Amino acid sequence: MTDDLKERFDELRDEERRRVPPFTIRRRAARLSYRWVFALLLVVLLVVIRPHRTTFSEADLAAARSIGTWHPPTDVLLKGTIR
Amino acid sequence: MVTRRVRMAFSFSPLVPGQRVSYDSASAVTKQQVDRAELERQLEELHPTSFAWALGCCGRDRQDAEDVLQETYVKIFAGKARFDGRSMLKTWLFAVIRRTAAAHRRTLWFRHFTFAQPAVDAESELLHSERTAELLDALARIARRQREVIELVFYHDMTIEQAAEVIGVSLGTARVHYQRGKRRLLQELRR
Repeated sequence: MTDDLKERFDELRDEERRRVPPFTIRRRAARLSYRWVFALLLVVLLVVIRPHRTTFSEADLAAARSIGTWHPPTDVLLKGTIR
Repeated sequence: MVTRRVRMAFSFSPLVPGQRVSYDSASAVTKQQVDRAELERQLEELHPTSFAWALGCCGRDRQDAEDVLQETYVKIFAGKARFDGRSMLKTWLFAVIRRTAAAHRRTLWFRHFTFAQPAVDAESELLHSERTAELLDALARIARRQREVIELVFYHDMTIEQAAEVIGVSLGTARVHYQRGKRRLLQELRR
């Protein structure tokens, strides 16, 4: 049985030896590594989902307050109609 | 995949085994260059058998095997894998190919998502006779470690000890893989 296995493997080797590509050493021209792609994705994700904290200056707060307290001058016209 | 073919050029003829070389300071040829040339010559000599082993490590996918082998050569010439002479060059090279193929397999799922699937190589389908196709089918059905030991012993004419070195296991473990693998393979072939 072992001889049969050996024979089969010899046949396989003969068949595969017929189509061996030529020996060359190719250098990849600046191929983007998967590690770099993952690292880049991670950085983008961190930037997108990081907690945002916004600070307002005094002028911004004053502007927001004045907008909040502003009433349109036409409100007086509505006073008589809406109960 | 974008590749640029660069043939490493050496300005001297390869050495024959046992040839003595003097490395004097005036010579433009350094010891490192000679080592590289000698290594390249030996890799070229082992290329057909290395390709066959790469095929075995990549499930007989020719494209993957070529990629893995190129990656291995580049790794060796970039100094990422160094032969320290503790084992035979062939067993060391086979171990590097095996590790490179394992790393290649780990990135397969990513490549399947990002790149189009290559068309099935019809020529390679016709390559094998019915008898060897049967053997390959049976091989594909046994455990990876068992398959590796069996291939190293029967296809590459290695001893079980050398096969153990290639796959990085103890001799006892390799013997067990060999015995079980052979039994399973014969069972699969009888089906």
